[in-house]
Amino acid sequence: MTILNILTVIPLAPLFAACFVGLFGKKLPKYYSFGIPILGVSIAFALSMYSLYLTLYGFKLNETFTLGLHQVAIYLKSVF
Amino acid sequence: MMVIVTFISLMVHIYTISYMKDDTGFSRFFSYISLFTFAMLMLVMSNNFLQLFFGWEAVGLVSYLLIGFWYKKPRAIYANLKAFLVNRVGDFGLILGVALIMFWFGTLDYQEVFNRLPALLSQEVVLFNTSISLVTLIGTCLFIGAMGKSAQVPLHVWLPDSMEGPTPISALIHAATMVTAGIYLVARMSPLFELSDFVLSLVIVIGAITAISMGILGIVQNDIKKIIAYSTLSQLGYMTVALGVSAYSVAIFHLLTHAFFKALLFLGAGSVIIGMHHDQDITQMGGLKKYMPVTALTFLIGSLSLIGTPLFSGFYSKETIIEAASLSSAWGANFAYFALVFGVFFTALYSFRLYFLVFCGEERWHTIRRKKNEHGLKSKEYPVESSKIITIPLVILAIPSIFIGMLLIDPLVYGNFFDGNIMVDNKIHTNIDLLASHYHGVWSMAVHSLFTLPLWFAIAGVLLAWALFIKKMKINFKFLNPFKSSLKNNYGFDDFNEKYIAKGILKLGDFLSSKVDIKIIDDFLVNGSGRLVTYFANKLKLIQSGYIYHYAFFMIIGLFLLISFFVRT
Repeated sequence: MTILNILTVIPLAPLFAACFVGLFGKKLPKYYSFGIPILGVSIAFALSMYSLYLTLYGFKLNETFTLGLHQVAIYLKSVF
Repeated sequence: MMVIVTFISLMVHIYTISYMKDDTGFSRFFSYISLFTFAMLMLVMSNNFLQLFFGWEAVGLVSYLLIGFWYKKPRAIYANLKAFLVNRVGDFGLILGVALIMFWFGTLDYQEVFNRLPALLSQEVVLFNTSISLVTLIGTCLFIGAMGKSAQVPLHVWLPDSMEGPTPISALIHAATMVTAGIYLVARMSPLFELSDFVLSLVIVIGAITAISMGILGIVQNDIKKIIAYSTLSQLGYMTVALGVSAYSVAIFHLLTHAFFKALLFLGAGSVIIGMHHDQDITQMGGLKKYMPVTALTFLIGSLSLIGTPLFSGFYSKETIIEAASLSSAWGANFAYFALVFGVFFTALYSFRLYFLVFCGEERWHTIRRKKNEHGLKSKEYPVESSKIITIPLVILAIPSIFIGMLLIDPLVYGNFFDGNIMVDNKIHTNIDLLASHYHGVWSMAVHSLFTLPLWFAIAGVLLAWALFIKKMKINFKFLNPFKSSLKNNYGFDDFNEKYIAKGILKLGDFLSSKVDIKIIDDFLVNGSGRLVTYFANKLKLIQSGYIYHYAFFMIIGLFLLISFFVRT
């Protein structure tokens, strides 16, 4: 995976949420109407933070890295 | 930028669950705000002008849909149309700039444009018999685009009216998205703007005028959301001045801190509006601190950050902008410095006028007699604190409103975070190096502020608000009476636009409709061609006499002409 892959998902997550709720929102229960957009924006926020972290630690946009739990652990260690 | 946009958007999404819960357009609203987030992300993630333009227009379109969300309200429709039209004026400048870039550079990729800039530095363009530097022309066009989106004078008129939309969208538009797009554009185009002193001076002067004039307007407003809207305009002026004095990183830093405390203030205002049963007039509020403690405390934090209280986020960004302006040698920087310093006084005055009138003092809603269907608390009704879905985002936003400034000033302003993205010509614009040499850490900056004008101006503003609205001191402001109507009238910008620009365009439209459309296109071209065909048909039908010897005669003539033609060739 590269940062570019992550960057692609960041705008698409709220876009899909907007399309889904815009098309089917009225037919679905109310919690879908807010749950899906919040999920979309949460994904975008989490990935934005992650890509910022990777950029700050010197990763290039097209450099390959593996997204694993050990990296999350390194990140948490660096924060706390 | 992506982190700011998505974080503020997430807070607004959560807040909206409760704010819009009884609205019939609940799912439509969520769809729009997600689409708005997508559009803003497209804008800030672009590495070329085409994607930037797509994001730019998408933001404009969705803001139109959101401001006019309550489409049955005539004022909301008027406001969204106004926002859409005024933004088109700015967009015209942007598209001209992009077209010039495409024509002269042959590419829309940022990096390639920046790489080719030195080669076209001496290129001049003749416009109205005057020779203008190409870089200046492009910079001016792009800045006109930024003026429209970031609501700089005189293209600011759409922003206060956009308060007709639901409060969550006011927070999203005015804190993290849309209005910050213009600031982001100029900062992203720093290699281009750095090459034109004329454009930088224009940016400084426009920013300074916006900062001071819109701050003054905030004092005379009574609508809680409009006061915060004018505050946004004023703070955008501060950011624009920072761009003009080549402190691009400082402008982005203020954009970041402003995003948190302005989202907090807007969402806090929304909480107050719910508590007051949709009454937005601050002169009918008062004493809400007792009933809405969380909203009051978080609103106070937002206000303290906004006025630049030492150690709060807004202090670090605003103080750095003022210092960058004072150290700049650019034309207009001295004017900007004084405008910004006086702006601090007005910021403190309107912020604490708002806070004192809403949360402190006597409870004025008891004295208001309302009709049955009128918004607002009825007699014997009391405001209550908003639900946790509303107060939790307020508390979450209050934390960065205090701490984010001191945490990020080092890497963002004095570190290398923006290396490769923001370019400053340090040989010409020495103020940035001087700024760095004056900085000795967050604590010493806070201590140093005790000896600077802005802090004392802020204290003076708060004290004056306290004297006027808590102590009810009778101070004679008769000398301000001549300016009152002008201030209430938004300096006459709306009147001017309606009387001259709107009416002029209507007259032009009437002329084009009656003369060009009806007379030339409809009458002359469309009906005229029909009439012409009828005329010739009438003439031609005369030769259809029905006598065979007439037809034989024409056949012989035709045959004769044909044979003559072949014989000649």
